[in-house]
Amino acid sequence: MASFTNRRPTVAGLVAGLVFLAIAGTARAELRIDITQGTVEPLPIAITQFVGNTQSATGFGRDIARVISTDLERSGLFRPIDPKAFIQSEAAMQTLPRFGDWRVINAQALVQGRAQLTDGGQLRVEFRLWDVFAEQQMIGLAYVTVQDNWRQVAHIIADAVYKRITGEDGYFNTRIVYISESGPQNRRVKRLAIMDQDGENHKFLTQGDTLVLTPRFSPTLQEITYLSYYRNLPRVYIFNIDTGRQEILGDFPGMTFAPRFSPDGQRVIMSMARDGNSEIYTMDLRTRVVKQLTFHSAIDTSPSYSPDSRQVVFNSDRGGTQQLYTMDANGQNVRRISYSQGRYATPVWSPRGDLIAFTKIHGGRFYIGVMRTDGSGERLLAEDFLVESPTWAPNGRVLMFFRQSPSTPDGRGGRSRLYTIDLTGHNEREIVTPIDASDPAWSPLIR
Amino acid sequence: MRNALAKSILFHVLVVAISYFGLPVITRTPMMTDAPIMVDIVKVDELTNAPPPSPKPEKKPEPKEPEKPKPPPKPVKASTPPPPPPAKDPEAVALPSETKPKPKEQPKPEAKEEKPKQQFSHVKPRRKPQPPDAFTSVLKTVEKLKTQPPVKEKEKEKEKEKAKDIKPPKQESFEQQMAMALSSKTAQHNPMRPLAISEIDLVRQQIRECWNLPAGAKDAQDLNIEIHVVMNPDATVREARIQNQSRLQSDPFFRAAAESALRAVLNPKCNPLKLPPEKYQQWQTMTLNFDPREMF
Repeated sequence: MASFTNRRPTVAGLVAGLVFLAIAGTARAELRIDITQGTVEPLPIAITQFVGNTQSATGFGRDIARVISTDLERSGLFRPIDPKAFIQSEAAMQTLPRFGDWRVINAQALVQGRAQLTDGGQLRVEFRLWDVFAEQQMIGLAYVTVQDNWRQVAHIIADAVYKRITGEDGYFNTRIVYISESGPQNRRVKRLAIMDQDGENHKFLTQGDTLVLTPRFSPTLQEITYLSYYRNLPRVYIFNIDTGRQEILGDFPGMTFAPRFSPDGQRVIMSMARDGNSEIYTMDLRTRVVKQLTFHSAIDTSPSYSPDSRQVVFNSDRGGTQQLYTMDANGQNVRRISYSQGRYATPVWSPRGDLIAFTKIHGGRFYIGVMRTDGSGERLLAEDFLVESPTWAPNGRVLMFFRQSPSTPDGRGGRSRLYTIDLTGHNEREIVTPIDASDPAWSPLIR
Repeated sequence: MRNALAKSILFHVLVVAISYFGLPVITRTPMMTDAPIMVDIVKVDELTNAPPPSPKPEKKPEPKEPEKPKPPPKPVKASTPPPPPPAKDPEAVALPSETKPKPKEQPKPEAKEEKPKQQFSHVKPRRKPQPPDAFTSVLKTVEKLKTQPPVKEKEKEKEKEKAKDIKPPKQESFEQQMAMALSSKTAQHNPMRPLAISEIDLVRQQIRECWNLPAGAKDAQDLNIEIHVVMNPDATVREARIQNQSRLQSDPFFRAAAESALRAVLNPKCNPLKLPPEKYQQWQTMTLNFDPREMF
């Protein structure tokens, strides 16, 4: 044996070497194709009715599937397939989907689920999201809740699907506060109103006896800060949605306005006007300690924190016209970031941190736009006679704003409505409100 | 009697004539002349040999270009490569030259399908969301302000950057863009060689249709995904695997983008891939590198 192996190594080694070279050769020459372009189309998704165990559970199942479907469709990233095209029935799918049947109708993702009423009268909803091509479950979850919360469960499921497929948090289980307006222009009644992001569950929070402006959501969700009038002076208030209690935020010597919460919900940043000059202040909500951030003879207003709380964007006319500036959270390092023609107002830092949304006024027209945090890459997404007050969806991918279209050439009358637009600029939708609406504020995701 | 015979003969001749020629058309409709559709028959070859961008005839109706007078002298004729016989080439690809690019047609059915959804939605689209043209930028902008002259030097720079970033290349014709896309990796047009599209370009073009890239995601342009595929001899995908598995677990953005690339590879529209069967050895395993940078 020994002599045999001694004799052969050269041949064996040669063969092995050749084989190795061949493999290495093919490995090195492996075909590599660069795909540098793709399409931007909504993902075709099949959302089946959730199967119920009783008559009323079936009703819940149908409604939940419908809400999920409209949520996803409205995002512009999904295209729910018409249920009439489905080949496999919901009931037959309870063991395992026949993926071939779903590929045929060009579904790339599939949502199936069950809605059951438990003995205690609670609603148990479970769902699975399938990757049709890979024939794998992407996510599967179950929720138990009181029956009245079925709509919220549907939003939560839509968020889960959105997050699993796009990699980003959803924004469907959120609420909007806004200013509901009625009455003639000179005696406008402005009430604080709240609704789900899809316009459902609408209700008024204030009676309309005092003027309310610029509502903003706290990141902790139960609270809204807004501007109202107290003894004919505008003051910043905090309103608790759960208790309905409102309180004045501090007793300041001047008038305070443009309030906004810090990302941790612990502070409020706002403007205060005193002796004809307005500066930016913060107030710690627990200690009520007030700190002045800007010291300049120009008007500094509309501050908004970056999501890491390290920086603040605001607008100022210190450069001659109203432009956007950023500064560190302690007021140092003020930098101008907007340089093009026109005036800039109401900057809002994206919750994702990468962009700043703003209102731009140029040539008698209003624009809603976004720019990077250093001021580069400005893009204008919406334009009209009056578009204003951008507010970010909590995932930083969609903006809401209000648009007023005048009914007469001099800009009087007309409707004022809420709209959403996604960052690509291609998907603009109206959020239907019962009456005129302005100044929307998007809540964080309800956990 | 003779009269009746004559009538009968006349009648029969008439019937035969009508059955032969058809009924006369009283309201004469003008002759429908079909406008000729230019079709270039392109041969699949090792090397792409796309023609240089030619000016679009629709946009410039006046034939005042310096190139136009050239055709009379014969030598130039050699530069227009003769189309290869289609019978010999089963994989010939027709490049639509007059017709509009496909992506423009696609939005329509989608918009239609969305309509019924409005009935139960409390949110209605103000304008129908239209996926952008695949040849322009993914990100839309209201373009009215773009033509303003910048005031300062710094602004000039920003303006330039902006233009680079967002301005969709709308001025370019489809042919130009096609030619640009094709010539991005391969050599320049050689008039001596027949018009050809490389096999790789063909696959690239095919997968492009299947890849639904994550637009609007944070730093979407930096998401570079490699998919390793093992192919069946019939050019369908046997196995596809995302490289960089560790990032797949840690980065949800990357996972979403990687899965979108995987879906493109597994999409029935892209199976089988248009690969030459005789070269199976070469494409038995491949790496597909998805790089959306150009789209933003």
